[in-house]
Amino acid sequence: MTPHPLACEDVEPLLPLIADGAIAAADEPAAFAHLAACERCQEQLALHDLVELALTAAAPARPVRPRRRVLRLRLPWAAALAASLAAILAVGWAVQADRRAGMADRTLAERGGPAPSDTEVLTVPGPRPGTVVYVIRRGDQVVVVDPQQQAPARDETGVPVGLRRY
Amino acid sequence: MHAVLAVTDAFAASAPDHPAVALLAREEAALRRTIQRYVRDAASVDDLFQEVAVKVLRHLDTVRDPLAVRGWLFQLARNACLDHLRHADRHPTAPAELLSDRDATGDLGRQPGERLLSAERIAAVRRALAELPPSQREAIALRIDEGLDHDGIARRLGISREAVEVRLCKGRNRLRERLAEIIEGSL
Repeated sequence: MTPHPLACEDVEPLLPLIADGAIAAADEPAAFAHLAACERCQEQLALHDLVELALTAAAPARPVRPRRRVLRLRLPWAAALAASLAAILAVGWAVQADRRAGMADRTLAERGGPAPSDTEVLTVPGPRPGTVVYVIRRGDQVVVVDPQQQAPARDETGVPVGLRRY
Repeated sequence: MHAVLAVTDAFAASAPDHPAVALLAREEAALRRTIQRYVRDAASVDDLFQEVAVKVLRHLDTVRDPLAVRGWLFQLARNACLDHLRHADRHPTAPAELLSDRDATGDLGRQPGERLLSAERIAAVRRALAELPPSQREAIALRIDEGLDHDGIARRLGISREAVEVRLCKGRNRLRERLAEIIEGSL
């Protein structure tokens, strides 16, 4: 639904409820579209947020669940490529491919020791509908893998030609 | 910080036509202004912007209405700031006296040395809460201290949900006005 443009007087009554957590962008897209463009309403909301933070400052901290870092692969050769990249990055991490549609799980790299805690694989929607791109990050090293690149040639070290490394 | 920065730069370099890349380039200034309303430390602003950028990369495809994108971006930036401030409040990394000198946070702090959530301001907000009319104070207390949602508060108090929201809004507006006075007075 296309948001109807709102004025400040339409949005101000909602600010306490937004700070309260009762209203999110999906509930009132027009209000949030206004907030994104209105410095005055942003400042008022920030004051409400500060009140909320002050009121909850003394509350006990909620337990934080550690994030699972899981590599989800959908293409066989992308799984093999990710394993090569892991070796290239000298990362002793083990990932588990989660194959849907009845295919068995596979461990892509041997666990050579304690898995580094700073290794992360992000699955990001690709530039074309229905595609994904993988961003593999370990410390300051980042590799972007686009499985849509068909049958990549490899150089003398076995690294796919054209693969960007940062 | 540098690792997260590399993720978005690497993505932009390898997929320059991705819609998220153009969106972030176009909206970066507005997002940073939103973040700076809550956090003034330059390194934290960078970290939070990159955190928002990664979320945009991962979830932009879930936003169906193009006209709702800017509001969605604002929510991402605001939520990142609130999480950052909640975490900073519960896990201070330096003694309080150093924080008050170094941890300049947001326009609401006004002066570089001010801390957004000083102990004095928190206490002042708590005093203002105690001074609210009982119906408003009770509704806010049930929301904050017991974590009840609006329907839960309505059941507890035997009133309608709409009445709960009226009490919450009136109470929060009073607290906001009081906090604005406190900030203007540089408490």
